[in-house]
Amino acid sequence: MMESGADLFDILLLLRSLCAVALIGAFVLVHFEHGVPLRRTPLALTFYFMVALIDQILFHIDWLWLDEWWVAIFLTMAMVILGVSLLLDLRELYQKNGHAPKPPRG
Amino acid sequence: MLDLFLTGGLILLVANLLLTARVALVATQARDARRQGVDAALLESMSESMEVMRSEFIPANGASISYRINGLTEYANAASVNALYAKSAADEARLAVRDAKDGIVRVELRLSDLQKAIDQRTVNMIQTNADTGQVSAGQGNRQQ
Repeated sequence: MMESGADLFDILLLLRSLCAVALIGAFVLVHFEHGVPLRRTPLALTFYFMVALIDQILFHIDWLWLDEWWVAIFLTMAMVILGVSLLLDLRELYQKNGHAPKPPRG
Repeated sequence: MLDLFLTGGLILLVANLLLTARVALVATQARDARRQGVDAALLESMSESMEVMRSEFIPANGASISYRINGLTEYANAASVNALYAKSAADEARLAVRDAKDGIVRVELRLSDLQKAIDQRTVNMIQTNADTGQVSAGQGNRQQ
């Protein structure tokens, strides 16, 4: 049985939300909890929110070529950029410190 | 904690990518199917709309009606439609015209506009009078 587009969009929305929570959670833990400033991830996060905002605006003003699945593709691409940025930042931290970021003592 | 968020995030990211690809595929298939349906409906409604034009727009001196769908200009003689043929209806549908002499009535419509025109039994049209060269725009105008 073939899934309907609406069902897939619902699942994708849920998956994207969970993914955003996990990635942003990891970013918050490293950046704020561990006190290690990251270079790329804040920019990627800003980019993700900008893409989400612009997509929503264009979608709601019913711009002709922007279908619902284009919005999904753009947001997923922005999410991939966010994930890769986070990974690169963490890799940089590992190379610099030789271990994962740890919470500050005291 | 960080490992949990990071691992979970990356797994979800990969799942997100796969599902997006699937959504794009399903959406493309659905769009193609819808377009084929529209094509068939369009062909049918085009002949209906020509009947409407023929009955509602009475051209003077063998005037012709031309209209455009998706960038193609279609021509039709309001008095006698000579041919209606289509290779793929939405992209290349054409009504042939003969015997257009003095006046020309030009109606330019996009696909969505044509659907509206059919629904409302009215068309947005631009009249060009071949004698005076004057152009006037109106809605549902009749050729005098």
